[in-house]
Amino acid sequence: MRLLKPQVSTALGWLSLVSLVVLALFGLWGAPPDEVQSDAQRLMYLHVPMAWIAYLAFGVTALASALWLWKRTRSSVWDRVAGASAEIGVLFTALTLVLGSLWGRPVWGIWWAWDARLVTTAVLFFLYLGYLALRRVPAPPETRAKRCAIAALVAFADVPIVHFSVTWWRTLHQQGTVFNAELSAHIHGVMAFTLWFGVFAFTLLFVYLLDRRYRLLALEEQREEREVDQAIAERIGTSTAPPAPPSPPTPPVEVGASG
Amino acid sequence: MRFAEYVITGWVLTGVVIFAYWFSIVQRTRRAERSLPVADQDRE
Amino acid sequence: MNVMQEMWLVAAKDLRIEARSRVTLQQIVPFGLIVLLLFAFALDPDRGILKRVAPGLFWVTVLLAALLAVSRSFGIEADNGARDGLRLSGLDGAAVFLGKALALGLQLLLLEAVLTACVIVLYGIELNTLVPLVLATVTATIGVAATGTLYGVLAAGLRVRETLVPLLLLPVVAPVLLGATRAWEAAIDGIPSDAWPWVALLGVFAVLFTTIGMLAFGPLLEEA
Repeated sequence: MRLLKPQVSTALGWLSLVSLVVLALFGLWGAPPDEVQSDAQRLMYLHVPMAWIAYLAFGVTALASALWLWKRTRSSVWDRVAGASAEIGVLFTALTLVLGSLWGRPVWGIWWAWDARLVTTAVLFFLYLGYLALRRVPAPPETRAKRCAIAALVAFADVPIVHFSVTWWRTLHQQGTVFNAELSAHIHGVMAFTLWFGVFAFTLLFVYLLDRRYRLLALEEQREEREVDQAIAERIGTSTAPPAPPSPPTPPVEVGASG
Repeated sequence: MRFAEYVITGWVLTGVVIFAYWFSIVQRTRRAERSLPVADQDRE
Repeated sequence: MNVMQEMWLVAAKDLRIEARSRVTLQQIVPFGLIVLLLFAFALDPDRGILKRVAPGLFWVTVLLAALLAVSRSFGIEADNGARDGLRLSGLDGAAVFLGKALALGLQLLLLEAVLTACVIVLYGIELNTLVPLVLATVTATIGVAATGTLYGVLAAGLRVRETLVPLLLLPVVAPVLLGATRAWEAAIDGIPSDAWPWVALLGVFAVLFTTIGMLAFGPLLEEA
């Protein structure tokens, strides 16, 4: 029902919050403005950690999917971890893209840059969306888990190829070195600390959110099961006369029909 | 702060979105817990 | 029967259905042509843009038509329990995958041949060096056919198949679009040796997804 014990989860939640507040203090005030980008640099303290989480969440989804597929470790726990992680991941990926946009505008005057990392992140976003769409298709739990697990691993296998091909593509067409300025050698001292602290803070947040989302998934699955059991019990339990041929009960979860 | 509109927008947006997501999870969890049979409920 | 023989069996079945129904020839190829026409309307032929972006337009058109072809490939088994028949036939999952992917790939190659002729004529490009061009096209097609067959079976029994497959497939084949377009640009615009790295990328993609397809098709067919 949960990944972490209740006390651990609550503590982690508070710790994440405190870390994020500290990050904000450093990011918005403690760290100096960049020589080149001025205060727009401050968005990097969010954008980079979020990108890290976006990819981490995807990795967790893939790992959990693999663990589910491998018969020796198969358990609905992994299926739920995969689903929870994907949902958090898509959120952070979307934020990464938006923050990238907000950062690009003041620095280079454009709302979007065909920078290798941003493009790869955009593809990642769509891979996530596809996975989440697949999860929403009604199906028996085992079927859905197998289908989604395979889809997650296929997408995961694709990411390095996408990354490589896009990076290659953009280096061939690079106008200048501007887009490489993100993690330039100018980062030192307080700025480097803030960046790494951001990675730390958001990792804590990710684990906390994963635990909470996992628990919600488990609860919702339980509730659905009970609702199905109730519906069946009502059908069976209410008739006392010889039952007429029953029409199949309409389960709250429809099994996908042929298409 | 230069570019304050972008920086503040970015940070505030991030904060709001994350908070909203967390809050929606908490709400839905409470609702789901309440519908559990009493024996299965745990206190957090 | 070994895997190769089973593969030919399945591929022949799909191709025979196509030969009799001619859906690819009479519906999917025209769709591709229409898309090329639409691009011309959108981009105004007189401004020289079309010639420059012809490779990209070609491959986008191929991908869109491939969505239809994948849908068709699994649509033929939707009725009369044909999919159940396939499941119960005792054929090896990998063989069925290879057979369907082969049939799909051949139909795509037919489509590409027709579209290439049209692109040459309509957009006014010349094809300078055939070898890298053909190799890029063939490897790209293998990649698309393999990935399409994989996602096709994944979504085979679902009501939302027709909207889900495009969402799943297109992001995954983005590298194929990238590689094939760059390879074509190199072959057409001058330095053909620039095409080879992209052909290599397309080859890696094709091998990877064919392997994945062979492994995953059987289990996915069970659940369809």
